Amino acid sequence: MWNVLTLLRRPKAAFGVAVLLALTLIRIYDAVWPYDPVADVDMARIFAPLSLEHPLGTDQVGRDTLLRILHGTEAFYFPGLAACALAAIGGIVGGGLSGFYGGVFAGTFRYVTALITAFPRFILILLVCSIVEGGMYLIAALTGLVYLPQVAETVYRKVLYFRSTEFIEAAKVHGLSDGRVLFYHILWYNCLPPILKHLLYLFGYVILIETSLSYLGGFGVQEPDPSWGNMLAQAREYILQGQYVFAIAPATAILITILGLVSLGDAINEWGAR
Amino acid sequence: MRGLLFTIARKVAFFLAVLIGVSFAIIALSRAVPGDAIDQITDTPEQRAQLEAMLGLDRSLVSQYLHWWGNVFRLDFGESWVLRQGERVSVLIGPAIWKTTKLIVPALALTFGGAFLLIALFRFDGLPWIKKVIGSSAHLLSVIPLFLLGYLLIMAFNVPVYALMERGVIGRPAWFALPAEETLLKYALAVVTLAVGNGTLSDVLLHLESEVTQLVRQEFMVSTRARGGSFWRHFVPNILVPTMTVFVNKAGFFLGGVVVVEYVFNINGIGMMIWSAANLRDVPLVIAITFLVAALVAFLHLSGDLLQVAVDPRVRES
Amino acid sequence: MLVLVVALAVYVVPGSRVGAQGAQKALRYAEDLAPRIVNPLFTTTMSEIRMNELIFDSLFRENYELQMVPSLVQDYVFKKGGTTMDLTLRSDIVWQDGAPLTAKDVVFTIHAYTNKRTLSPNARQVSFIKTATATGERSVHLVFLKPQDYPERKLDFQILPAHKFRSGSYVKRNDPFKNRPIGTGPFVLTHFGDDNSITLERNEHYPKPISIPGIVMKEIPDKSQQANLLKYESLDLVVKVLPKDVAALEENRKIELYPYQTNSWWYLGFNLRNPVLKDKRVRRAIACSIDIEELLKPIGTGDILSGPYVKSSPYYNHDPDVKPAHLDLPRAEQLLTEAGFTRGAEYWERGGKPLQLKLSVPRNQDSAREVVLNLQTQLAKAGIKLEPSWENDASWKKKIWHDRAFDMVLAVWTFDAKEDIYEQFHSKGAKNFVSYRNPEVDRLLQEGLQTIDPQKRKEIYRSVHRILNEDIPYIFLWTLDSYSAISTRVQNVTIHPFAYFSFIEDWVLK
Repeated sequence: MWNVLTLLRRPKAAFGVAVLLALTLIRIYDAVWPYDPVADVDMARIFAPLSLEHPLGTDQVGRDTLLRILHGTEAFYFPGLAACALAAIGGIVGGGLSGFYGGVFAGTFRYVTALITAFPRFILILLVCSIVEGGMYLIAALTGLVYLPQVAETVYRKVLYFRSTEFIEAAKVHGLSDGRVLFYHILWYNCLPPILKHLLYLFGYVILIETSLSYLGGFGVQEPDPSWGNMLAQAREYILQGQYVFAIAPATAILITILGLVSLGDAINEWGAR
Repeated sequence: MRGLLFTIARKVAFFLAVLIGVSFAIIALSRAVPGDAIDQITDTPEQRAQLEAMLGLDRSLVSQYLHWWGNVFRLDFGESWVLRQGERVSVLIGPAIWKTTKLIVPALALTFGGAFLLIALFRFDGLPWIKKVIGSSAHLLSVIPLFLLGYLLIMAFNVPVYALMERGVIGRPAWFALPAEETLLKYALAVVTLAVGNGTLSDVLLHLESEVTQLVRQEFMVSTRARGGSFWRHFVPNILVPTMTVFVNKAGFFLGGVVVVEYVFNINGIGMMIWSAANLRDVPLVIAITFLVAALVAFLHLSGDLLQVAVDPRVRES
Repeated sequence: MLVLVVALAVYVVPGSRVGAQGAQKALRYAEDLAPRIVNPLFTTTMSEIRMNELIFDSLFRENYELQMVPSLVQDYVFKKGGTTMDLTLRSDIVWQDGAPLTAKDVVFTIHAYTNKRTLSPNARQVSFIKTATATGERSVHLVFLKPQDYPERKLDFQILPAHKFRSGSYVKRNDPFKNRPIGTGPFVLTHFGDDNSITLERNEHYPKPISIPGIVMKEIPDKSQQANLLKYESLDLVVKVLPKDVAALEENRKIELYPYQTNSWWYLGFNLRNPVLKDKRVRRAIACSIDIEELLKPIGTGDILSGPYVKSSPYYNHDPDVKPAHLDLPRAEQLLTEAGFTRGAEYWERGGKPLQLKLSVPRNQDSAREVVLNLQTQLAKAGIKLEPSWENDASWKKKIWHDRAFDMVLAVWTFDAKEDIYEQFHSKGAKNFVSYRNPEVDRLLQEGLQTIDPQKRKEIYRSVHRILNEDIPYIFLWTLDSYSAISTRVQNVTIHPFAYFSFIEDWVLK
């Protein structure tokens, strides 16, 4: 029923899909020809100028910036997907069930999401990451967790809306099970675009959170592994020496990626609201 | 009427329950992190036992928790252990809250005001090109990571003004150089950064746009318009509740972003304070700020819910 | 859009000079983190030490040659090797609130430090004093626990005003004194700002005229902003510039770089409880796989060290015959083979397990990132796998000092003038988290503390140096040339290697 082709005809969507596709291709490329951040250190070529060999130059210990940008996708690609999965499953199941059945479950779920929303998120991430060592997956999971209430809220409101109409009664008269009504008829047919929009934004938000954490004293992805965030955060230390490419490269990567995700979300939303 | 009172009472009870839960969570977390305040204030291992007793770290979690609540009822958040040793937390956070308020309130106004302005522009017929350019540039600006946006803004002011000063074209402005002086310009830039960066504007814009689209299409709005009734009289109350929902959800994001923005612009608000305090294991300060922030967000939730009760009679029964 | 409007407004409106000029009367300097408390009893951080130096004074202090000379003391009677000392205080010293300095203040200060309930982290500084009694208005009689050689060196703790503390020698951290500290030093603290800044004015009661009218300490946690603000003349002084900024600042005519030889050195420490690292051959093999010069190159210049003392120390390079391990891969191979390792495809292996070590590094250590990345690559080439683990400052002590959950550490020790390495290398030392244990070193360090003859002490530390080089609990790396960047508005600058502002009374502000 969701005609994907009509979606792709929108330029915003095409751009977003292209970005996602590019990220995926980079991941495949990186998995086939893995990058070794340790072997890439070369003190003889610190801040090498742009050249064919190093199209984006090198960093303060002679590592190739382009290779690090490409490998930097590893930092958020799967963790970002994991965050989306967490927010989607938690949000859809929690929001859907509490909208559909209400009662004690809805109350408890609402309480948990209220706790998550109220807790200052950077402090949550800082403290939890100090207690448990989990690297980027933990950061992403926590980001997904703080985003979960928004997904749940969207689903919850949709389900409530349908409950107020005769839609569900009509479906039940036709002998459909609760699960089928909730997950297939309500969520799949009517909630997909807003949920997708949330998840695309969340995916980008994982990158942004990692960047912020890297900036705030290096709490993001840890060296020697690259991430766009830690590259950008390190680059600011070299601005006084005029090493601009070093900063521009990861910044551009972040910008294009998130812009792609947001545009796709926007397009899906418009398309879903037709 | 009794139903309404009951609903309100239930929502308030929920609010209090959130406060109790959050305060427990933060005290438990602060106990679980490796390293404590004593490591920060002495190198002498012999003093550890005495300091533990002094700071109450030798108490059990539950006892510490009850003790904390006991003090809160007397409006006593204790004293800072590390960041400003011996200073009362209530004295410390006062000016910090004021500074952060000066950031968040205008930033929220800017984000939501800006988003509604843009939506109005998008719904306006004509000027397709300009609409596209403005829309795309809003999104482009918005997806810049907070600290980068802050840095770019600071550089956009510092670098050219310094060049002009060096050539003797202009005198040294009072705000120069960012972010060293506490000036209005610094706050204005910080507000813009917070309101726009990290995708905040984008996200709010997309959310509100879909809400507006949905609302405008709904049958009663269409019929109201067809009957020549006032569009705004129906539009405003009906957009208020979804806006409030987005607002409440985003408030948490703003309070998160404040940490970064205050760090970039060197503003000693609660964002920077809680970040330093958490890094230094200054538990009373961390708990107090977390509690207040959580109370604020939970209170917004409560107000959102109450607003919904006021606007939508159906909610009263549920 | 809004930015453009604001920008336009600012460019069009001609800059006013009022605010800038008012601020320029004072010397403005930056700290990463403002003092947490202004009270010498509870001082632990370098920013607090620097602040105290502006406000307080001590009985004796170092002159330009770093010799201890009387400061608050007029004259004193002490016989070398004796256990008593009689001090007479200067008569021309008054506290910043106008009260005269008396013997009571000195006695109070010593009692406050040693009071068990005060819990001063610096109690050790005065623990060599058995009793202190006021024998007159301005005379103090000190009795030491043990015979002393040079007690002036130890009488460098800062003196507090007894009349400001009502509760006797038990001083609490929340004593109101912290908000209104009074000293006898060259500057008076006048204001704590909401922005964590501290404003000081020159002490008009100070016996010497001071050129700098005032000082403003600003808290700027983002280090890369400090150098920028110095360039823009929003700051006059950055205590320690990042090595990577040195070249850019050197070119600036308005800024002078002062070498600031801190008494600190970098090291790689081994966890001697680790079954692999317990083997001296493995430690030596690691030392033979590292090119220290290559590690130092990208982060600046400095002296490569073979022992725990810097060049300016009397104990530096104690034994010229000591040859520290240096890059020698064949030797490393030989040592690892002796220790039972075989070279696998990538790494050395023993019992099927690769030689893999976790290197703990404090996250906020300047320049550590570059060192770790290089080290990792160097060791990888030598077949040793190094995994960096970046630790938060807050959990460093817990994980490294208490739990000793590490294989190797890269860190820095900073010393005051006493250069006491007892805590680091004595088997019972509080900072001996590498679990180093050598009865001979224990004996020598104990003896070094008690010996009063400086020549004999040099001999003792020479032996310690030799044994440490043999045992390699640490790989000593270097002491980094660090620089302070100060605006050329400030002249006649001399920087004290530890307390920084000790000579500020002679600085001149134009």
